[in-house]
Amino acid sequence: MKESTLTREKLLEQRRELMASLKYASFIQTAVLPGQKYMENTLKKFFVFHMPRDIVSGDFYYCVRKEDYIVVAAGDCTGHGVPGALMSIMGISFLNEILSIRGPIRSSRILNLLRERVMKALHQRGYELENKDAMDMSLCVFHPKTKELQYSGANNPLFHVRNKVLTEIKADKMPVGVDAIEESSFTNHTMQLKPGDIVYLFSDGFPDQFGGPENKKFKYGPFRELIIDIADRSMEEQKKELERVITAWKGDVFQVDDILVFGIQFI
Amino acid sequence: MQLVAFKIKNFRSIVDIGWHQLAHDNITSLIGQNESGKTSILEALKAFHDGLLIEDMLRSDLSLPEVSCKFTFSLAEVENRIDKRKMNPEIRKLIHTVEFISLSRVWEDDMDSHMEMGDELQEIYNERADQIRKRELKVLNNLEHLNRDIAAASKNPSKKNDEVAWTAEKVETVRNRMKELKRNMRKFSARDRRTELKKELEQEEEMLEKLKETLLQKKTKQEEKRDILDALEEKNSVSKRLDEIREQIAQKREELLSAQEQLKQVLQMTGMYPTDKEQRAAEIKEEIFRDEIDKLKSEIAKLQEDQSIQLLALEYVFEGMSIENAVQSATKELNSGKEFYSSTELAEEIFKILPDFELFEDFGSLLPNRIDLEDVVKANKRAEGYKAAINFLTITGLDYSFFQQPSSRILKQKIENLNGELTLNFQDFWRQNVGKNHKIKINFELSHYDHTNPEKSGKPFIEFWIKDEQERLYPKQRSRGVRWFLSFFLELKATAMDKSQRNKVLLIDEPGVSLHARAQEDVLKVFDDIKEKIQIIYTTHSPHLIDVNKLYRILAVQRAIEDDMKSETLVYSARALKSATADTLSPIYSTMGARLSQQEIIKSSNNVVVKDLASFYFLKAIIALTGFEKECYFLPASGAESIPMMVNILIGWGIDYIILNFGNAEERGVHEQLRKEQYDNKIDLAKKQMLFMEEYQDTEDLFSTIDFKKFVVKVREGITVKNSDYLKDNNYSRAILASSFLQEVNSENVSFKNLDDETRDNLTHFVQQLADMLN
Repeated sequence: MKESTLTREKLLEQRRELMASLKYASFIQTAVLPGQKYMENTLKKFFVFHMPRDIVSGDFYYCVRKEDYIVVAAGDCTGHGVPGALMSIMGISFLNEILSIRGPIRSSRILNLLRERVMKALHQRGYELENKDAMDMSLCVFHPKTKELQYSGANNPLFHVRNKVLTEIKADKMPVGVDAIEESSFTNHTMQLKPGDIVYLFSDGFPDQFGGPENKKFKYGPFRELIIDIADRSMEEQKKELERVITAWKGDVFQVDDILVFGIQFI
Repeated sequence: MQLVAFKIKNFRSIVDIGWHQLAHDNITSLIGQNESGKTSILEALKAFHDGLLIEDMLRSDLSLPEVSCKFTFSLAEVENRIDKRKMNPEIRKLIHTVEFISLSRVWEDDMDSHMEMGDELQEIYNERADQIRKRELKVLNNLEHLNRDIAAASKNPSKKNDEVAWTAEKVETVRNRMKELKRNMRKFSARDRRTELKKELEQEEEMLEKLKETLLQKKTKQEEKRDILDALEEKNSVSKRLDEIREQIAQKREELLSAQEQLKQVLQMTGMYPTDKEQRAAEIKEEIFRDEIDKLKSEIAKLQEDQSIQLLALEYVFEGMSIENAVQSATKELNSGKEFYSSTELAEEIFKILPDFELFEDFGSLLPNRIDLEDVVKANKRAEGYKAAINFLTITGLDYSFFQQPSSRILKQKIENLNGELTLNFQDFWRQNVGKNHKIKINFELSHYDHTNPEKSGKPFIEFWIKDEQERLYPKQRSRGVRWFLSFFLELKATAMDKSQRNKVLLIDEPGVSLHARAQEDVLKVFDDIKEKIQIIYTTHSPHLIDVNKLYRILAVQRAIEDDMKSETLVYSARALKSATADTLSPIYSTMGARLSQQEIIKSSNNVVVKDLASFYFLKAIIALTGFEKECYFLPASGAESIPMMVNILIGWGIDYIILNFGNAEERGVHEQLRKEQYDNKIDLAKKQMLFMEEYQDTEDLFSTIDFKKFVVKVREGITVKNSDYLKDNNYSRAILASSFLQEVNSENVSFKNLDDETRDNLTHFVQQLADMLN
């Protein structure tokens, strides 16, 4: 056998092993994400449009019922692929831990505590040359009885749509992790939901995807328009439309980042 | 069973002091000025136990005393000792749900008394009594109607009789007229005349029939009325029987009052007769009157029972039952009620398993120089030192037969042995409890009166001696301290030998009043030593008999109007000492120096006891940050374990305080300890004075992690544990950090608006709770 053929075989073997390993990692990542049934029982009307760039993803979604509250989140960890996936698993574990300890359930508090854990895990103390890995996140706490929604955001905003009118709730300009400036508390936004209101949590993957005739970013303006346009459709249809639009927009262009849009219609 | 609280009404200077809790650790001290009523409380408790009341214990308005005591109880113990079948099912059910059981002794006009169940169970009895009262009232009401019916029925018969006689007369008239018509018809042959007569005769016949019918009706009615009257009068016979019983009861009551009056006169003279013969005659009289009173009481009780039967019977009679059956049914019903304990019967049964109350006081309990054997045999409790002498005989295992020993040599030897044994025991007690050796020896001897005492000449008496290395002296010749300690030893020893297995409550009036300060502290040591076995309630003026670390043991007794010995006695618990006068609290002040509430460092109210200096700084900063408007004085202890001591001091000085504890193990422990000691585990009461921030481990945990990092420790590393744990794990000095933080706050480098929502919410919630507790 020729040497070049041997090298090719070896490379193919390595690729097979890597793919198997990634697939298994993907299986583990899927296992830590909330299950479909659990989400259906907890949220009733929702969709998750999750399109990882690679087999594993740095974006993750979260949903848990705690006492009288429902906590949902969409996170976007630094990087993508395996490093992002590891961070996302860390994020989910920390969220689970935070929600298992006693204390008031407040969206800002959850993000504050999550940041403490991320900083501690990554030994971040605000020094210049240290690791700056972090995650962006939208996190909502919903109280089904009072219909009150709390939202706190780390760089990622929240879209709220009522009767085809979209309101954007701005996120704090800081990540869940160390930042250039000293940490301060995340803002706890509250709003009163009405039946039919939909909130959208998302990573920057969708608006940042390159494509279209001029190979430009999709951008937030069209993304907003798209959300307004599809908001009156069923959850399943919204998900399909998002997938259709981004696939068409992307065309043959390489996917630059993980894409996550998490829509929830609280009843 | 353990005594936990008492309530006294109408006893000497006491009108109604309400319920008062005893200290949970079995030692309760009553402090107060002379004549404040301390000894009265002990005597009232003793009277609760033995029922003995003397006239001077009554109030001037002669209102009758009532003493109630509350006990912990074990259901098993009660059910083992009491016939469960005789317990009313409702009472049985209720007794399973109550934590304490209380009994009251209620005195009656003749100074006799009975026990009643306390409020926990009495309601059921009251309800039953109410039902019976309602039934009796209904019967009495029916009786009134009956009397009216009888009066009405008695009037009507004469009228009816007249009506019957009148109708009968009319019948007779018509008959006579008919006879005459018939005769006339025979006389006259003229057809017209005969037809006329016949017509008239037919009319008369018709009239006769009508009258006969009327007569029959009237007679029937007359008979019916007669029957009704008979029935009414039958019922009335039961009512008449009731009247007779009532009269008999009234008569017996009069006789009882007279006998009681005569007994009172005899008792007033007791002890004042110049000779033994007259005294004995008076005693016989006393016995006769007592028998007479008992007999009259039992007769009255019987009559009252008969009265109840007759009332119940009448109820049945009114329902249509025959008198004979009604009386039978009423008797049966009354007897069926008897199968269950009445309140008094149940109380008397439970009383049998209550602790024994013993009063240890100077006259009866201190060892006398001598006591007549006759007083011992006759159980003359009025004899000086009687109780001490009986204790002595109990310990030595002697009874009257011992002194009947014919051989004086053997008797002497036996006494010698017993004296040696007793002395060793006492010396051991002294050494163990007072921690020193004591050389005194106890001796007793049997002697006989000689001719110098002609009244008692030849009669035996027991003589006591206390010897040391130098001399042999009568107890009264020794110091009162030694005599008191020795007598107290006899009391404890005798109590310990009691095999009744009932708990003991020892009531001690002015223990060790003549002991020097150090020996008084030894007395306190003895109390602490025996408190697991014997509950102690004692009165004192001495600061040395008050443990300043355990002021929860104190009940302060004083008159409602200071210096007015006619005003009523009031009792204040440790928690309410601030309401007591300075004179009442003087023993506490003596041990503590000046009265702290009169100086300016600590205020008389709104003081908040906190764990330590670091908590103090944090809290001062929080008060400044939140703009707290109420006056508030934080008092730092030197660690959680010092909080109880600080609380004691504040109680002692009558200063209002709040205890602030956080949820860490030490403060939680202190919180639980104080709740038990100061508030008898009554959570509602404790909540008024103890702020327990259980959800926060320490003061610094009131801050969010971010604010804690930013303003207190000033680091940027991730903190995933509680703030207080972070300080411990990293060996930070809480006090330095807290002090620096306070400085930052005072210099306005940190303000409330700089803090995040979480911290602001926590602080607001905390100061609100604090404000709710402060004046």
